[in-house]
Amino acid sequence: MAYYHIVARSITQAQQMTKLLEKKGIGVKLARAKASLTGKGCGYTLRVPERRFVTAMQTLSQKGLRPQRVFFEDETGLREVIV
Amino acid sequence: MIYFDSAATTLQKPESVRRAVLRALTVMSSPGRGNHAASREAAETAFSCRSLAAEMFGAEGPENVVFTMNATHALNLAIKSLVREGSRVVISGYEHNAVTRPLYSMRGVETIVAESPLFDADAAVRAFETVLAQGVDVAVCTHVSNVFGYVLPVERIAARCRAYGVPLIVDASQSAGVEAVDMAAWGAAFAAMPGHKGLYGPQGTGLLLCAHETVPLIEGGTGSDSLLQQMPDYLPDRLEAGTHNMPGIAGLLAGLRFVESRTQEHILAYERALTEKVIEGLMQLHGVSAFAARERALQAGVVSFTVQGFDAEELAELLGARGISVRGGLHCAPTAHRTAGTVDSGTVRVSMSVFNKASEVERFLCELRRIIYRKSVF
Repeated sequence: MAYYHIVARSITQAQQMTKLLEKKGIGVKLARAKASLTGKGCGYTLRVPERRFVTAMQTLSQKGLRPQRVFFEDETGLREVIV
Repeated sequence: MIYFDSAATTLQKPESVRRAVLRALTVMSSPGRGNHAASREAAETAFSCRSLAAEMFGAEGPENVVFTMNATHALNLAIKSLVREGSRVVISGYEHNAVTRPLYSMRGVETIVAESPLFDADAAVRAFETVLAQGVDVAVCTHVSNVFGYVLPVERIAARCRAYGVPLIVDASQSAGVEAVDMAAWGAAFAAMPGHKGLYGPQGTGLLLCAHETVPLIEGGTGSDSLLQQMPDYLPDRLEAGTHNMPGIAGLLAGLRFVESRTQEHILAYERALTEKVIEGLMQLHGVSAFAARERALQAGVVSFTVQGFDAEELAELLGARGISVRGGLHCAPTAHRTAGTVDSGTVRVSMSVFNKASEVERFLCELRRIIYRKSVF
């Protein structure tokens, strides 16, 4: 299964993103970010299924919520995505 | 006990607030400090509180709602984010020491009081306009005077500040929970409010609504960007170093929900009706001067009075001995007393909450009558 990891700048922003996406019917998983994802230590990510990623990004963008970074993860590994 | 000191702190809290505080002590740790159940529960509660506050008070979103210890803390953050050495600051004639002391403590800051008579909204707007036209950097205005219950025309003052491009800080200490606080409509830079007065939360809680860049008062852990040695440059983390007061925040959320369910309009109308009853009764007593607005909309649920031949503190103490809690003196607001001409005598203040009753007002008036009568006879 492939996922995108949307890195939020804070727990509050991550929660705001989660609520917004859930309202849109996009199920996400809010989790503490692995150190390699934030680059600054201590952060939060939203795990979004690959097929909902585009809608998720559009939804966040419409509300002015900009992710810090975005990563793609599948069976081959984890890599950063420029959005 | 009859409690008429809600302008300081509402003593009677909704049952839901007590339950929320207890629950938080049992199941919550700190938000953003892990992904275990206790931290998640705390994060969910904090987020709900921010979201509801943003919705109720017109802040842009949950990130713009910062938890503070009280309104004084919130005002210090706002003032120290905007005011610099050499700044000229205009304040209303009804400010609390929570505004005037931080300004006084800052080097090279000129504070100009836009003086205007009590309960004269047009004069208040004119006074601000005069000073704004002379050029100022920041404006601070209380929404409701903690001494007199005077509802200042913040909406009109905010419009003048916008016209001059001057950032406005609103002290909503007495208005949050009773009067409409609307950051978006005002275009204010900041609004500060306590959680423990009209929002019925516990002591040790407050909110700062932000629409302007901020400067932290303290630095420390935020659960975010831990590798960096600077405070994060985004809200609310930037202003929230250290562990959160989760019992307080959970209680504040319950308080906000209580206010939302009762509606601010209903709470204000109820408190105003009780205050009018107090004023009516005071007016009938010999030697009593009550500070009452002619126009209903200009006074919230707070009234000050003096009694000839009595010191304000002495009278408050005599009432206290009879089981009635009121506040005498200067109410930490010498500027307001100076403006109203009561700085030498002080006043006795009666302030309402939604839990007060008409029968309590009757008992208060009866006891006050007895105290005055005793002194006149003996």
